[in-house]
Order: sequence, then structure tokens, then C-alpha cells
Amino acid sequence: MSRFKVFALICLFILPAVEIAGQGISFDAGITPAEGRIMLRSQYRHISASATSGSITTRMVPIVVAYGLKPGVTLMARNMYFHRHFSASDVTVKGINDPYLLAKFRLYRKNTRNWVVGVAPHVAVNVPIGATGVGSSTWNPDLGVNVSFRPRFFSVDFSARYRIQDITAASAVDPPDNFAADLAASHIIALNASGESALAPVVEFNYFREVFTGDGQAAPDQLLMVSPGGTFIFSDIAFEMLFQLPLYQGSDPVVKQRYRLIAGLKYMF
Amino acid sequence: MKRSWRNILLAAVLMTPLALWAQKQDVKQAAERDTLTYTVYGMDCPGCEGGLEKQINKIPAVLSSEASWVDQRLWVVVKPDSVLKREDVAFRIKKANFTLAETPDEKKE
Repeated sequence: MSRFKVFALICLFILPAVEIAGQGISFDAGITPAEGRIMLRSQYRHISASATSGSITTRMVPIVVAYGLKPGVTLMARNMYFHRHFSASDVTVKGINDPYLLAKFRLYRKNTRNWVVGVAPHVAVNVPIGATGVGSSTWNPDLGVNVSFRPRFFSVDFSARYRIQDITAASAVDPPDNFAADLAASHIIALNASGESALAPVVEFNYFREVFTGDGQAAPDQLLMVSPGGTFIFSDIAFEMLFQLPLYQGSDPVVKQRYRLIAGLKYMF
Repeated sequence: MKRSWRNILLAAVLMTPLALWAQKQDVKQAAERDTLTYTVYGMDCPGCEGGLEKQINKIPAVLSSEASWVDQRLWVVVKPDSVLKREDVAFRIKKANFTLAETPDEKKE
């Protein structure tokens, strides 16, 4: 396979998978919200990476709508504007990505005076109607689970998911599946007596790994990031910020991640 | 004639804030009289409060409600001449994914 084809394959399948996987656990993790609760969320993500031939800068603006259909069932739809620039060739790819639909279920939840524990698996799939060069053009379902442990003013959230890339084998090349796991620890501090406004510093660890299912494939790409950040919450509105730095990127990645900045706004009603 | 209209207008201007204040006090006292307090487990951020209040306000006997994630409390103002059943409150709290404390600690404040 020529070098160009390898690079094109990476850009088409692996980069979006890495970029979307490393979105921060707080993006759609956690336990199911109240019935009838609607959440609107938007973010700006700036992703800086480098390849041997130059730098790759990606900007993403996802918009998410989540709805508490039942106390134990949450539906979520997400889409995003995608803009990627390759400095070496001065090529820009932009457009609307594939819509992503997710259903989360409450498997277990226990509320006590001192802590809350919740387990919520999810099933999700993209709808391959995104713009050429931005959407994957393939169906990529994923299965995952969120586990939350919240001892009063602290929280520890763990999320893991496995994504099957191109389940219908519609693509000429077999893209690798991928696995992602996130761990977040946070402390929420009430800023006034009523607790209407609060500040929650957070540190996350985000891990991504390719999983080749075919024969004779190269070493899988891996990425481990540490992500300090925080959330300012005022009543039903939350402002989020996350800065992601790579800790480990495998032995010889074709595309090296530099840093990522995520700024977001969430509104619930 | 002109003077009496002026006096009436002056009295109205002076009396209106007083009347509004008195009405507000009445409403406040009535609310205090008919406010029930519950202990609720599971709220862990300010955003949880709105979800719970939205559910509680669906109960026909409820005039308004306010939740506090810090205090783990829920205050419910009951409509005049209405009866608020504990099981209705528990049902709505469950719909919000929270838990009403076992102890029947609701009290009028």
C-alpha cells in the first residue's frame, strides 16, 4: 500500500476515531438524568497534531441533545461541524460529520446519604450521511458502559466503549475497531450557601487503542492523555473546560497528538 | 373637584406598594404554613435540583418546590386546601432518579 493511501486511510478512519474518542468523559458519561430532563450541549474542540509532512489542525463544534425518556433510559443525538487543515499540502477538509445516536440504560443505581453509585451501559451508532471526507461512510456501532461513584462532594467516573468500524464491511479496506476508556475524578465546591453555583475541578485520563480484526496488520495506534479541567455550574447552566495532553502515543505513531483544548456549554431544562 | 382627584391619585400611589407588600406577606406566610420538607438522596450538583423540581411540580397538589443538592433537601409548597401524599412525592423523586429518605421527616416549617 502506498504511503499516500496509508495516510488517506488514517485521515478517513483513524483520526476521527481518535479525536472523537478523546472527547473527555464528561461529554456523555455519567448516570441517566431525571425523566423529562432535556440537555443541550455544545463544545468547541481544538486539536493539534503533527505528522512527518507537517501539522494537522482540527476544529470541531459538536452539538448534543439528550432527553430523559424514562428514569432509566436516556436518548442522545449528536452531530458536529468538522474542520481539518493539513499544513503540508494546504488542504482543508470541512463539513458536517455523521449524526451519532446513543441510548443509555440505568442498570444499577443506589442513592444513600453519603454516596451515589450508578452503572449505565449504552448502545450507539453513527448514521453515515456525513460530508465526504468528514463522515465515515460506514456504520460504526459501539457498546459501552459508564460507572459512577459519587461520595457527596467528590465524583469518580469510569467509561469504556468498544466501537466496531464498518460493521457491514462496505468499505474496500477493513478499518480497525477501537477501544476507548476514560477515568475522571472531580471535586465539586459549592460557591454559595444555597449551592446554586458551584465549581468542579476535574482531572481525566483518556485512553484510546485500535483493535485490528484482520490479519497482517501493523502495530495498533494507542493514545493516553491526561486532561485537567473544570466546570463552573450556575443552576441549570454549566461551562466546561478541558485541556488534554498526550502521555503515551505508542512506539511510532504516524500522527502525533500535541494538545487539545475543549471548551463547552451545557444547558438543562 | 380637581383637588379630590389629586388626593385619590396620591392615596392610590401610596397605598399600592403597601397593598402589594401586604399581599406578598400573606403569600409568604401561607407558603411557610404549607411548606413540607423532605430529605432526598442522590443529588450531586446544582443541575440535579432542576430535574427534581420539574418532577415535583407535576403533582397537582404542589404549588411550587425548591431543592438543594448541598442540604439534600426538598421544600414543597402545597396548594391551599390540597393534600400532598408522601407516596406521590416518593414516586416523583424516583422519576428524577433520586431517593426519598426512609425516615418520615417531612415537617411543616
